Amino acid sequence: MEAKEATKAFGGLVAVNKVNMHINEGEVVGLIGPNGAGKTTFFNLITGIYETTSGEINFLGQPIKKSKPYEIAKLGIGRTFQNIRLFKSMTALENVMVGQYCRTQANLLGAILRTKTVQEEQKQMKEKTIELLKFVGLEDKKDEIATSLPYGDQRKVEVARALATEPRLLLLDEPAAGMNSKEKVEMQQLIKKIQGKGYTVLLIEHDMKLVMGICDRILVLDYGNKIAEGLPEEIQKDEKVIAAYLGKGGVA
Amino acid sequence: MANFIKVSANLGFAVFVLFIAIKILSRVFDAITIKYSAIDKKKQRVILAVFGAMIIFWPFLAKGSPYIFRTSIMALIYVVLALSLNMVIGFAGQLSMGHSAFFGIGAYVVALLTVNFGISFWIAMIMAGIVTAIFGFILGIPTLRLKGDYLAITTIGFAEIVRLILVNWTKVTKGPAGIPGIPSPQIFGWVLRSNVAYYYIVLALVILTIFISYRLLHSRLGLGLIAVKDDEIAAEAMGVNSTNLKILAFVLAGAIAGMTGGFFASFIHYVNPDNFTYMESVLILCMVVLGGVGSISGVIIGAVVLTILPEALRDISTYRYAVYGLLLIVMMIIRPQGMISKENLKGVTTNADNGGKRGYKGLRWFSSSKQG
Amino acid sequence: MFLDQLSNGLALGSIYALTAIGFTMVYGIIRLINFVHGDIYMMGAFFALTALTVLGLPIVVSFIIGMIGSVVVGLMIAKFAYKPVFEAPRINLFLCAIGAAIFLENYAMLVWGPQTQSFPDIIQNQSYNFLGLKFTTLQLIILGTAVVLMVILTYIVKYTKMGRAMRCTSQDVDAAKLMGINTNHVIYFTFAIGSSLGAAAGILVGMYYKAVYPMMGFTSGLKAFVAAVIGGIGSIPGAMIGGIIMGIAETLGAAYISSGYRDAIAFIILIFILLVRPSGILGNSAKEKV
Repeated sequence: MEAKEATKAFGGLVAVNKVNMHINEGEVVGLIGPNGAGKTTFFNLITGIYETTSGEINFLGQPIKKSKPYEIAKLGIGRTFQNIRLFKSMTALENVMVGQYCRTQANLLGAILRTKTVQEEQKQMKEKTIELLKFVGLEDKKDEIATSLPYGDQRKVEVARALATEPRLLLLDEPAAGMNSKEKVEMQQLIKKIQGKGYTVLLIEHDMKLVMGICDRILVLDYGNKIAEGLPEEIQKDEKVIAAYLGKGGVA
Repeated sequence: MANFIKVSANLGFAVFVLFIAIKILSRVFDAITIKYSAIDKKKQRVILAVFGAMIIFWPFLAKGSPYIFRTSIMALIYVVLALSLNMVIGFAGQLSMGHSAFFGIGAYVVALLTVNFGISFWIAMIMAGIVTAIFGFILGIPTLRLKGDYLAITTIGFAEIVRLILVNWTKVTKGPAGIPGIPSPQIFGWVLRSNVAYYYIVLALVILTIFISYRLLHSRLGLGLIAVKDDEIAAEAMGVNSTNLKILAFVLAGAIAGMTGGFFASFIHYVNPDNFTYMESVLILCMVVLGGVGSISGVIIGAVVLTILPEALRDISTYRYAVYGLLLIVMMIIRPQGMISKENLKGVTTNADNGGKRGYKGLRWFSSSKQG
Repeated sequence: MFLDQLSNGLALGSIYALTAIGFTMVYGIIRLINFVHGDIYMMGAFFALTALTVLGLPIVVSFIIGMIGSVVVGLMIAKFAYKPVFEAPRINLFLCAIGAAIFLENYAMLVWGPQTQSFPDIIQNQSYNFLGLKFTTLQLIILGTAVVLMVILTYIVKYTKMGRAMRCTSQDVDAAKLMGINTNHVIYFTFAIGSSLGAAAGILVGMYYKAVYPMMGFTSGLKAFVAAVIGGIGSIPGAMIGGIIMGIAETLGAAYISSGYRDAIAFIILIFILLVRPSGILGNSAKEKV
């Protein structure tokens, strides 16, 4: 995926300003920055919830500016949400199954007649879902209403749901936000496991330990501008980044 | 003045009765659904089979009274209408209040085709389904931009426009006078004039609709629909094409309601615009809300109860619409999830005792519009 | 002919504007399309008619009784039908509003009968020429009453303490609460004002068409809602402009297209506006945050 001068303005407020970036296959890239830096807006640009004001975003060599969110998901970008958005009336299993929607074909007639192919497809859908729940460690909670699960587990369901869309690029929006330290460690392990499977990940996170621990590369946004990009060690030393986080006087 | 006091007192009493009745009914249905989902599958099937047999042999049980029989046919008509509305409200989460329009269009299509052109009832009924499917598509388009109450008002507007056309386009629809003399269906030259025949035709329609509802709900499309209902933005981000699904729900619901309208026209042999007013839409909505939005069995119960009850309480039938209004309010206050709540059927008893508590769970529609 | 229709449209439009203000105010405060508003308007007309014909009171007194009666009805609905579901999803609240509307329509039918009742002729109509338009006395009374009520309303909203509290609440209920505003009072006050304006409109329309009937609120309510949407729902000046536009569009449409489709015109405008510019002329749209 690459962004070329991607810009999003809400009226006079420029939330994302001419951001250039590039993610290679198999990389885990961290996207950090102070609150209100435009990180989530950037995610929303990639996933088609907002349309870029100028500049472009390409995925697998294709421009996705005009695509609808569901088309982008089908192209292969899966995401989680900063404020968890699970389907409230569904069990964990059903939630994850929704992720498989764009990878299945059955139409109305097929659904009503329940033909052999449709049955086969549903079986595979369920198997894959259970596999994913196993992967995030929630197999035994599959029949519980997802939103009644503990907070950490809800995040995991969201990750599993995003994985169920079979993404070529996985966007995680603050997966460890609001978690206690034990849950954070679990989430870190989970992301590592995802990395191990060869997924490409773009991660927004405030927890520096987590970000520094997993990411191959880090990108820093501040007031919508990209102020730094580089390896975790480089970012830690970058003066601009420190200034952005601590204020201008902090670099003493 | 005396009238004013009498009516107010009666309706005040109705509020009281509704409150008590809904509280008791909620308890009863909670107990039943929990019990039912606790017993094993085999016994469930036996119970269903008994019910099924009763419904199939009903014409022989109720033969004595043509009045009861007519009421049962009306109840089944409303079951189909409520089930089809449930596809839009319960599955896709789109509040449509123009369902009477589909019912009316379907009825008029059959009336016009059979009376003016002598086309066979069966073909006319299929035509009715096709025409209303097209209207369903048209009505589905606003859902791309509108949600919740705005959509509801748009659908009311649509239904009113349809009704006004039926009233004013006198050249074709004969206006308020309506179209009499709609023939009965025929099979191989046999005229199916008896109520028994009508009963089985509408029963077939009921079974078909339940079957479609069930299969749809338990397919990937159903999953996508519920996802759209719960959180449209998240659903889209997961690759669910909400546009297509919502329109699909409207088209399907429209087609089914239209065919039911066609059946209704043939059943009462006469159509006029008064049969398809806003109140009719509200009545169907009340059935869905009473039974439980999204629950197939609940909606069936809601439709049957709200058709039979006013008939049983004929003496006070002038009050029925006022009571429907009260019913909606009381339901929203003490039992918004309806009589059959889906949690109970799944065996998750998180909120079984909602009737007694002041914690409102809501219908969980358009939840996304509540998040900031 | 055209000019006659224009003055008709202005009179009707000012009535729609009065009704639309009630819609807009309630929407501004609790984000509810107060579907019952049209029926409160109908109740106002019936109360005033009863006071006028059955009790034989003078028109001004009947007018005030109609407004007070509607305020009571509006407050009762807010208290008993809406308050218990304020915290629930908005759509449940909307269904309560639908329920209340159906209830009132049928309540009126039970009390006063379903047939149209005629509003007695109390005003001797004369024609006046004004700015090149021809107005009847009744039309001038309607316009005058509407203008006076709107001026009073604007004063309340702009310059009184309650008005300030209303504006705060409409922007952010929680913040208003934190600032020590009793938002419940504000909500009830809004319902009271909205209902009284609605009733005034209902009585004026009763006088204008000389007819009062239980279902008069349904279509007029929807039309007033359209007017509120045209002006941008939540905006009081918008509602006034929207009302006038609706009134003129409807009279012209009825005169030049077909009177049978008079109501359909309103619905077509509604659907068109909602699809093309749901935020209206003066409103601004808010998108959901992700």
